[in-house]
Amino acid sequence: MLVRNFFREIFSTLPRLMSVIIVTAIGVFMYVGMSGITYNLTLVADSYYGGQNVADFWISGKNLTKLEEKEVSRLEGVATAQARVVVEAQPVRDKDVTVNLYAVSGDYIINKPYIVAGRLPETEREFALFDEFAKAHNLSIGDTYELKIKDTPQKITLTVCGYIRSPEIIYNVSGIDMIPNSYKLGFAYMKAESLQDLMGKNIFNQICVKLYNNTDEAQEKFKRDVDEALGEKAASILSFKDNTRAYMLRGGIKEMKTTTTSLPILFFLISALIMFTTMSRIIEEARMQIGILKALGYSDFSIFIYYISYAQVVVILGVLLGVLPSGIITNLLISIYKATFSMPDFTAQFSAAAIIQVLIITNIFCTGTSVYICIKGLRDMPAECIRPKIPKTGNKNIIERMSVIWKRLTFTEKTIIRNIFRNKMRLVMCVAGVAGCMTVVTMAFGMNDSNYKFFDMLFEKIHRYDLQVFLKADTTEAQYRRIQSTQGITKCEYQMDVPSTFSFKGKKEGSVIAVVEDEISLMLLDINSDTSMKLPRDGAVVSSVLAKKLNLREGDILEANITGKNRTVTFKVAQILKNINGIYVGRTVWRSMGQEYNPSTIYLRSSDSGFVKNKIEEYEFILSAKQKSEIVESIEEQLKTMKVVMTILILFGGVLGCVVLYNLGIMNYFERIRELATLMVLGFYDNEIKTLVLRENTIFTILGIVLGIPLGIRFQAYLVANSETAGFEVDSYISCLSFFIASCITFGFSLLVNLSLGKKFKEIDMIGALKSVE
Amino acid sequence: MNKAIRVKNLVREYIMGDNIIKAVDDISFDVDEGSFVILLGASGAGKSTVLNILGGMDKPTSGEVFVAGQDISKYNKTELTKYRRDNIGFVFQFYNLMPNLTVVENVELATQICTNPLNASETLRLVGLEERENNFPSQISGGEQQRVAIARALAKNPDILLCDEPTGALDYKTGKSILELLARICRQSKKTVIIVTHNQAIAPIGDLVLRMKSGKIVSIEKNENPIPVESMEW
Repeated sequence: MLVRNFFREIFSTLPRLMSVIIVTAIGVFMYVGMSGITYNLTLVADSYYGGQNVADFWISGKNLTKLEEKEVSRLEGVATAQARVVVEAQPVRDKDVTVNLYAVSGDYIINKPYIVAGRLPETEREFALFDEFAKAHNLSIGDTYELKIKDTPQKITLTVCGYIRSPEIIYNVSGIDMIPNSYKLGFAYMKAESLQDLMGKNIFNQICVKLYNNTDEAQEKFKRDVDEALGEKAASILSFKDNTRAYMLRGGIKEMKTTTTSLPILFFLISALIMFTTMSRIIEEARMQIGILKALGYSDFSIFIYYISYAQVVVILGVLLGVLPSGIITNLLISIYKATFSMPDFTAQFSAAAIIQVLIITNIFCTGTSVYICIKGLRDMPAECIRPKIPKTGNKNIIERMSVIWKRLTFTEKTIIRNIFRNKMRLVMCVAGVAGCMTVVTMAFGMNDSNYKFFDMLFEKIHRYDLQVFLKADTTEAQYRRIQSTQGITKCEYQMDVPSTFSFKGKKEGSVIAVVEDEISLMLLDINSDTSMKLPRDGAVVSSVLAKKLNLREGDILEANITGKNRTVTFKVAQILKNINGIYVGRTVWRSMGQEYNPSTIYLRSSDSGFVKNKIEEYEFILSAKQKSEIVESIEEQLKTMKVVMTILILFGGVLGCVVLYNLGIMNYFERIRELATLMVLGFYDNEIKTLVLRENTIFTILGIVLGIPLGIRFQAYLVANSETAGFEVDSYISCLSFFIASCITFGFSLLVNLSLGKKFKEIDMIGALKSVE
Repeated sequence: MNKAIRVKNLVREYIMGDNIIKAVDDISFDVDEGSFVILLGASGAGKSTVLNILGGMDKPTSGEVFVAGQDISKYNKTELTKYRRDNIGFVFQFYNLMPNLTVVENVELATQICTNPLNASETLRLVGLEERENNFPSQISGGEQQRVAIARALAKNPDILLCDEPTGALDYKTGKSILELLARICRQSKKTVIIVTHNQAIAPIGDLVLRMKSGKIVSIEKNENPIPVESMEW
């Protein structure tokens, strides 16, 4: 019989039970879904980087041989080292396209290509091609492809033997473009013998290195050891972390971590609150039933089991309904990553750990609450349980004590205020729910605003050029002059980028020294400078991100080790600025330190940048030229990902707020059904009754919105502070319009709830509600 | 004398699954203005249904119900609400006071919506609760709560006061004082009062006693000389 009663009870409490289940499911959904993103990407990253044995270091140099390879492999802490040839090639007909060729003699040991189809090359006439590039160029396995090695007259023709992807080129960008483009950029792996004519037998230009332990100390030691062992032969050493194309996936996961952990926790907290209140209410109301069961002689234990099972319905259904669709959110966000990163295809898996965590937390809140209330109820004597709980004595509330105000209120207003104060728990819950909703929605808008504002500012106040030109290495003085004298250019500024490792008081950080003109006006550093800025004559300008990492203050002396040159220079930190990357020095300062100056970037101003671009691109010493508008566009493309995240946040934040309000509204409705029926008998019109009950929700919503605004600001500032965008320090910013829209959305959700609750009023049965004391 | 209520061939059926239950089965009766009516019957006899229909809380399946010359059986929902608002005072077995409002506020709750209400404090004095004005319902006894409910119904200055088992939840002495109060209101303010009860002993105090059984009226008894409540025993 108890079992039958159990199912009937579930049925009779269905609306409330459903809403707890939904709230639980949303919490679970967000938690499992969001943590699934980092979980799955980490899983893939680990197996991909590990399985394909991605390098810890790439040492580049000229005329490296097996001897150097052996020397490096003998260094302390080195697991393996493999020498290879890396060259840039382009299809004979298409000058816009670049294909990086990687050639080893023997088998691939480090940076093993991942085979998508076909096989790895076996002879010097074959090569394995990046699958997306092959697709973009309509190249099938078995096709031949003619390439011209850049900067040489050499041509080679190879047969595609397989489609591959590479763990060292997960993010297929060239270093100039920040958007992967698998038509313009490709890579291929082949035998070193294929390039023998070009390089000479057993001559390489890169050594890939894998360490046993890739710790910071091991890395530093290794860099020093290489400098010592190879000297000038090693032109540059690139570590995994600095190799954007390889590291981007790992770095992206790291950047995301704050968002994917803190957001679901926020969601889960709100749903836990609801689980707690609703479960405690439902079981509290069953007091009388507990008493009856006890009076009938059921043991405490079986009553206990009864209510635990009841809670289990919520836990099991909530977790199930949350976990099952959580793959959607995981896959949606992962698909964005899949589009950007080339990695092995995989299907997202559920994280067992997240599911277990979710089960534990929901059990604590749902089952725990039931157990707690049940024990409380069981302690009473059956007779006490059967009697209805003594209603709380009405108390005068704060507003009532201010009789001046109280007297002016209408009856409805008094009733509303009294009811709000009588049930403080509900007040807290509702406000917390709406505030949570508001926080999430505000944050979503804030993320968008902050990034857009940042980029707007970047392009308006900082990037004031019309055209950015990248030059090939070893550009001559005459060539510089040729660009400068191109028709249509009104202003021209040079910049040289020197990758370096900075150290200060034992801390080390890799970044770039930008050597710029002594007075700059096209690529400014400070949003507050008007049209031009003079670089300090006695030192360098350091970015606030770098300063924070190294604990630098103005006046400190910073040491920079120029990567691949084994040369150290020291700078005085003259100024610390936000919104820049790395450090900036004027060229006079740079030259006075005896350093060579051959800039590779030129910023140009021109009234007709399209024309100048076309003209300049004809020069053979130009790597690429980009109009400002093209750069802006590519950044905007990146911001699209965020829009998806924003939409998800708004949607689920809203749904959560809705369910909270609905849940508590319906609870209010059931608790006060007698009062409402009495009002109906007294002759109150439907609308008057609705006002009486629903005005409360409106008040809660307004309170929630007011509270949610500062919470949203704080939360958003936290998120922004913990995820720098592309190495910049972004200021947290939310526009007034966003606040307004967020408030409207939150309010809209609450209106929706009121509408659906309002329909419930039609169902009130005056006679039935008033007849019995329940 | 004017007829306050005229009920003609009233039928109220409920559909319960496949069965049709006739809660009220073709009854007719008249009530004079200002009379004290006792509607007697066992549980399930249909007396509450009659009261609910008279009070505009339920609609008849067929038949006519004239209150002050108006046929309320034809009223729609809004008209019924207005009717309840202006013409009817209802008292229940369970007092159904607003727990969040004080005694006087509970009465004011009713007066604020009617067109021609009595003064709330004065009404409370009438029921002997002037001392309790600012207490909350949970702070006063059951009998006192019922008095508040009566005051609330009365303060609307209704044409008819309908009481559904008003003494049902009260002890003998308190119940008797409530009846006394209702009788006094009826005599002094010439209001029509209808009391529904299963308690036979109350019958002698009414001007008109209607007895119901299985949805039908079995007897209509006019009492020319009703006994005063004080001398009634049960």
